[in-house]
Amino acid sequence: MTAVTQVYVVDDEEAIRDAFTFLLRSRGYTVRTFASAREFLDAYRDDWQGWLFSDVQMPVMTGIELVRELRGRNTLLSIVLMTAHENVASLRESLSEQLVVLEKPFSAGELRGILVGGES
Amino acid sequence: MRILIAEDELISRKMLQSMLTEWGYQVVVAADGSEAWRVLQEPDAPRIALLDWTMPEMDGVEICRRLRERQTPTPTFVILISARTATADIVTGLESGAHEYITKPFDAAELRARLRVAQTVTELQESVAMHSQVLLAMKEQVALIDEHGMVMFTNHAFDAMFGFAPGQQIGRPIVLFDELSSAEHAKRLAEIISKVEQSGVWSSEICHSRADGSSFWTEAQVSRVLVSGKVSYVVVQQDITQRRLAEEQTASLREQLAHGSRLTTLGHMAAGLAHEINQPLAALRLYATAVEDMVATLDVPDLLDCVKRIDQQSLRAAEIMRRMRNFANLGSNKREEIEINRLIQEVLAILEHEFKRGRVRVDVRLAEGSPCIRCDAIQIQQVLVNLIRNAVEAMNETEFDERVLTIEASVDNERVSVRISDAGCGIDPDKMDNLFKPFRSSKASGMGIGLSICRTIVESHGGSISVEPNAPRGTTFRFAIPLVEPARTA
Repeated sequence: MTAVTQVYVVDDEEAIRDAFTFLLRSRGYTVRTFASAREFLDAYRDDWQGWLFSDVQMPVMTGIELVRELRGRNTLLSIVLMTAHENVASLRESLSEQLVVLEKPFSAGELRGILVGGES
Repeated sequence: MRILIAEDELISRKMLQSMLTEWGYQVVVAADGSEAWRVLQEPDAPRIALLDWTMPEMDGVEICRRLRERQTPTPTFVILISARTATADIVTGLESGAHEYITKPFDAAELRARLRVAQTVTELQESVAMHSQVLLAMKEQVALIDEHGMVMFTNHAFDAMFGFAPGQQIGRPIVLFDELSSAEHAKRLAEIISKVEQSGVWSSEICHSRADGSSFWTEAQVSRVLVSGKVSYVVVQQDITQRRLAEEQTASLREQLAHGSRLTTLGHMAAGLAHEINQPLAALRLYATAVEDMVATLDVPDLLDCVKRIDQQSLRAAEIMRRMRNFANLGSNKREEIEINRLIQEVLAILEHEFKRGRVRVDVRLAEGSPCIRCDAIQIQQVLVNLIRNAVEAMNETEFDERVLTIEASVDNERVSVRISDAGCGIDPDKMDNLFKPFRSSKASGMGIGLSICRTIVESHGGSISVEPNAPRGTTFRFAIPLVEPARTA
């Protein structure tokens, strides 16, 4: 498997998008950010590969709805959901398939673990 | 009216009998004293008796003495008839218990007039007896006191409640407040009486203690009456211990609910706050890591150290938020198995006055078979209170006779479901989607937190909540929580 270097970030928080860009770009990833799920879907193409980090609680379309939509389209992306809410366990339960959920604020170590694990 | 004629002389007896019959009385005759006495002992004996003094076996005066010993509230009215005209004889006759004395030969008109008096007196006695029986039988405690607070009359309930023998308190000072000394009591009573003189009536709730240390509550009312031209006061007391207990329970329940509501609101705000603060903290940690990466290759150990500390402190702030949120959640997190019907009934008791004020008719259909849920009772009641209050409020503009609130509990698909339906103004379809999200109130004065708290509570109990419009008007809220099989006792 070739090294995955493309990362998409969907979050309505500008600081999160910005910080992701700073951190991952310095580590050799290509980062593309979106302020909403709708904005992401407008740009999305079915042949996109790499990582998608999406926030859960967003207005209009939530991260969970985005996941459902992408799964319906048999996406190739590896999806990680991020939440600042406490109920990570119930969130994991409510999603039928296995899905990585990061609880904000997560550490760079947790993030690195996911990215490195996905590459091996 | 029935009258007994007791006369041993046949002609006199017949004459009296025909006269009285002509005047419209029903006549019972006795030819001697012992027969008369037998008649008077019957349960429905005549209330008026014409007794000849001189009779064989038992004379009229002896019958009078025996009658007087009976001490009944409705004594027989006795007219003694005798040929003895001496004053001493008349006095003896009346002192033996006779009410009237007529000398032979008597005048028919006089006898008739005296019988009318007798009739009036006996009817009055009957009426007094009836009233006093009613008074004695009442469950309220009644006492009559004079203007110095001395007891003139008590009914059975009064004596029984305070543990007195019937009539034992008559002639003694009344005791309304058992914790006061007699001097203090007299002063207090004087104040009450002056209040009654000013405004006609005084009433208050009073706590009494029994000899065994237990206590009970009465509602006392004092009002002014005139008895034999003297100012007296009627004291009526009613045992309200049960009512007070019920009121106290409702008040304590309402207090718990308010407290629970504050805690849940706090928890909800903490959760919201945590979410808001975790966002910048997440960004902060990522920035710090990015800086760490950037300076790692440079030889500036202090800078690297500083950046690591920024990350540590961000984590610490996040930890504080987490603890605060957990604290607010745990504060009211007692789960117990409880019947949904009981929760509904308690909430209805609490909201009773709001239904009255809002002129809302409540149609309650409790669940069959007493299903239970495992829940924090206070939290579920809060959901009920929130939804019911919203429903009542929604019907503010509805015609009075259409203000019907329906609350229905049922079991459906292993879940206990509660439906709260109003005939109110309905909800704007555009607002339905965001109805359960925080800070989205559609009410002018609302914070927009009620329904979002309801959802948080219901979901934390493994349930769900939904809303739909009613036809032709109003809204239905429905929440469902998993059913638990009640614990079976072996």
